[in-house]
Amino acid sequence: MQIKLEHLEKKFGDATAVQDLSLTIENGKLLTLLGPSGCGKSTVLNMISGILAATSGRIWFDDKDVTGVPPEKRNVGLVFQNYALYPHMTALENICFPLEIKRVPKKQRIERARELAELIRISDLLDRKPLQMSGGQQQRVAIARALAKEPQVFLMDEPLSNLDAKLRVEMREEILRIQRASKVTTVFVTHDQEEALSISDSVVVLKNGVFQQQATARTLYDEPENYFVADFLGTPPINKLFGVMKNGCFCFKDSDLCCELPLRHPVEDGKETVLAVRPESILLSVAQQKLPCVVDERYSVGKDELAILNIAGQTMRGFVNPEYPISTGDKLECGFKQRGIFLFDKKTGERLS
Amino acid sequence: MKRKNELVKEGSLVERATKTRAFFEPVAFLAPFMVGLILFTVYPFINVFILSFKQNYKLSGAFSSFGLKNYADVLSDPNFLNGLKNTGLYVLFVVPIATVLSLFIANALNHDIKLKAVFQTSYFLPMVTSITAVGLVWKWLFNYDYGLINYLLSLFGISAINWLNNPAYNLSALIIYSVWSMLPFTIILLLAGFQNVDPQYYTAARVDGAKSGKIFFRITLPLLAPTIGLTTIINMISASKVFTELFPLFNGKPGSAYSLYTVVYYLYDMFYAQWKLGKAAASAIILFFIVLILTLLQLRIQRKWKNY
Repeated sequence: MQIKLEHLEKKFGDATAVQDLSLTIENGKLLTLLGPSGCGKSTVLNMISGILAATSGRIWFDDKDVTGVPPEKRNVGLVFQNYALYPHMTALENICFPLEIKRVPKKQRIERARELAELIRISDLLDRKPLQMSGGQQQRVAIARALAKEPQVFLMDEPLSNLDAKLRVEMREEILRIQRASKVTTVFVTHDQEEALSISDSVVVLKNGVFQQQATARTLYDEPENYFVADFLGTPPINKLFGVMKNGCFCFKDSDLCCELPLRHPVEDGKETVLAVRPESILLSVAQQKLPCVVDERYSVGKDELAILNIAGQTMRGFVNPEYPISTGDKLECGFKQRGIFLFDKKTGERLS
Repeated sequence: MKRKNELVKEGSLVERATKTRAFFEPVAFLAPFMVGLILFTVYPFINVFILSFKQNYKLSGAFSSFGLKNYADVLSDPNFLNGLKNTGLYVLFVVPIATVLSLFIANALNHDIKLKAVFQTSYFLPMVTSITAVGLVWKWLFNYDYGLINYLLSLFGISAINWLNNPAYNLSALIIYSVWSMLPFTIILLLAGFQNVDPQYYTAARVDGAKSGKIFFRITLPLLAPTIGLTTIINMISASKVFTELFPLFNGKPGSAYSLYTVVYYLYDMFYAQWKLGKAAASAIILFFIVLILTLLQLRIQRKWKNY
């Protein structure tokens, strides 16, 4: 099932939650809606499921317009953020419920539920009620329930946000495995970039209900289309260095220090710009551009070492080789890799380089 | 000042003081209620229990013999047996009818309907009115010649019913009136129950493909079961003690031809009208045990209903 959103818009009173959103989710793929909280990603999901009616625009499932179809007739499977398992039913009954609604005979229902339980690895939990299960177990049951009726579309609304860090990684791999096995077109909503980048075929970034970019996780990270996307993705966050354009070069604010960048198109002098540099794109040893900088601080985060560098009065974080002998106060020269360095228009966020 | 620095040893003054406090503090908070309870409920109950075994008890304290004769008398008194039957029938009709009606009304009030506030207020009105005053109004509604109920029935071609003066219809009249007066309290509790159900379950059920009827019976009702159990117990207990409702409808008599004895009316009659204190006490104790057994049964069922 291919899902197509056309100029989708949702208003709550005067507030616009989603604005003119058009995108296509290819059959059998997993697409993630990514954005900070309040960016409208759950609203989009709820419009796809039919829980919320679109203010304007169309939603297509293949060549069928489902915009006005109520949720009970859309045949979508939805995993809620807090799972919303029926507390008075056992796991088995929960999984069987959508089949019961479909009037599947009881024997087949249970057979199908057991198959799913096998796939989701909860066969030993089927007699338990939701309150007797852990968050991770409840989540699996919720996934099984959503998949039970063989939905055309599988929707997940931040399904991992209630789990602890370790379980989250496990469950995210599990979801990927289940999705690959069931081949259902899936839309996954999250504010966690790591989650989004690790499981999606394609990621859509939203900001204040406005589409920013749709790409694979890799492309999104390597080639952000605008400042917001570059800033939103990556931990530690991308470094932002402010400056103005002079003779086609980026010159640090209040400084004579400039560096040359391959511009996409000519940019007029004096334009205020932001140079965004991924922490792993800072070179300390062999640099092409020689930019003088001072080491403000050096510390380790797990396997990595980070240095806070002062360059022309602005600070940036960079990964350094743990064996590289620098310490606080050292003056050295740095440069940037080709990859992971972008120039944006400060005002519009448009990418210039 | 020195003491503060010492370790708190077993049996030390500090520890003993803490222990004493841990005992007296809750006791102090509970005492006012407990005193009232013991003085006005437990003590009289024990006295009534003892009284129920005394024959020909006089207010002076004299009695002729001690034994089970009061119970034998009460249990063979046709008025008491009639009262038992009437009370049973009353509970059997009033409680389920009131519960089902309240469920429908609470469900409707839980949805966003027009004039919601008006409906809410009008359904809760019986709660704030005097049972006797409203009973007098119902007496007029039930009036054979001019009553609104007979008028409405006549619109459907049903001939007038002598609700209050024909013993055959007395119980029906009482039940109709009691169901009405039982509604508000039941609705309030059930409405609270409805509002406790997380709306997400409804959304989940809709996405699962369920229509409203199915959602009501498979999701709402089971989640409401503990509340329904609670209202049923409370209503059953209060209905077993039906008494006040009789007065305005039948001029203080138990039905038009003394046909509508209830257990508590019998008790009242023995106590105030006939001064047979032992028999009154015995009937009170019998009622107590009936209500107790019903309640225990209900609690067991309710525990089964409490399904999550």
